Amino acid sequence: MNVPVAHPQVTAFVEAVRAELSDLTADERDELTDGLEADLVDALSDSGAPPEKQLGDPVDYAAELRSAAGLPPRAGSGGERQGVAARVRELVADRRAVVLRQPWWPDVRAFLVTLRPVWWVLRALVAAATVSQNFGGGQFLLALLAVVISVEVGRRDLAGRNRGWRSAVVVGNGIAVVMVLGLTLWSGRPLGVSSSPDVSRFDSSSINDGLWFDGSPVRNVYPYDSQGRPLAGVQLYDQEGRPLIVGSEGRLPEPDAQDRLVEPVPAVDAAGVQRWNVYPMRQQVRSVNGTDGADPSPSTVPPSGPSAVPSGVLPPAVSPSPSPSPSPSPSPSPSPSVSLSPSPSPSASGAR
Amino acid sequence: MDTTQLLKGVLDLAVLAVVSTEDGYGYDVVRRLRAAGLADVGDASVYGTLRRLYTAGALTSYVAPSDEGPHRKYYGINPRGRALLGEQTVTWSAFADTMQGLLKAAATPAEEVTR
Repeated sequence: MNVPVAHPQVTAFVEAVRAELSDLTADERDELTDGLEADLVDALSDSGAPPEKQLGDPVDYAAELRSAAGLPPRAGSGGERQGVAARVRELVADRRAVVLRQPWWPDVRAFLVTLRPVWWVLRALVAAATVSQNFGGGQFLLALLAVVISVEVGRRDLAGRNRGWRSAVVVGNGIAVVMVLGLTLWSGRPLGVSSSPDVSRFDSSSINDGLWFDGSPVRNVYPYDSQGRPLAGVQLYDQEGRPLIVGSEGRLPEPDAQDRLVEPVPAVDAAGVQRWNVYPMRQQVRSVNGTDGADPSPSTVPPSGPSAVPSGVLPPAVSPSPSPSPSPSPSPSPSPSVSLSPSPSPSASGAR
Repeated sequence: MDTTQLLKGVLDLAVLAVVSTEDGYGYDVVRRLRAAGLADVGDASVYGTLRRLYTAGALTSYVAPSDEGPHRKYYGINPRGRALLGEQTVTWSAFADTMQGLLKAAATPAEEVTR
């Protein structure tokens, strides 16, 4: 007497097949699997083989059903068992294969392989810099030690031989890449041209403060009008509305050619505020040999015009004029009067 | 030669031929195909083919309870299926004749050479 209930293994198998067909419409799926249980039970009793062997893999079975029925293979081709990670891996492998096929790849690869020692040294220096920055210590010795370790790890290919080393090197390289990128961005900023006004650069403490021209500091600025007449008490601002200041407030200037210290003296406006961007700037000259020397009392000298030689404040006999006028004749004006009138507000952007 | 590859091309025709003699459910068709000599035929391939022919309008289908368990899905041929069977039979016969002629022509000179 036959049992009117399907074989449990067959039922499970059919369920698995239906799951593989889950992307089809319900009608399509039903048409493919209606009666499948009865068919499989028949096949089982016919063959006499153990159910596992007779039934086989439901994924393959479903794929065969599909292709014979003229239905497209399941999206992703690997069926439901293929996870996101596997798909990403597949995608990466595809891209990688594309790169490896390129005719230029062997050369690029050889070039990069040649550069590997550079990377070994670089990562060591980054590691040493990070450690010495955070913990202090002998920078040079630390760097040397790090370079030796890093190069040895790379040279002996420890990562390729040992699983523990491999994970350590992968993690270490990742950190080093981030650090290198970070250092590049961080240190590159003051050197690069920043489009937005950088407030920190107003600070007089910055070593880059002041006006520089052709690599040397500008000690004073002598404005002339278009007719070659010297102007006095001119306030200068840059494109951001920041006052143009030569040298640094309170910072000792370099001694000039005559071994004298030329210190700028700020103008003082009516409100008693020191203004360092008023030109020509008055200067105070002292001997570099010591204030208690020949010239103990510093003398305040009004600027008399630019000199051909960077001799500071001595009025030259014939001073060159930046303007195309025939003879500018910069007569030594007694004392520059500080103009307080229309001064561009430092916050005004685009003030020229 | 791998007969499964050959089967793929002629499975429609074989299934139509089997069903045209008598209605049958899935595994019944498989059994008859195997009995006729197509031992390598896969059951999933046959079920899929039955479904495709049914969708193409060449077969009718009905469900019948079985004596011994789950219901069975029977397939029978219809006029459209018969027309298809006729067409494909002609195509197959011509193809088989061509192949036979080709093989005969290939075999003959070889025999002469060996003599």
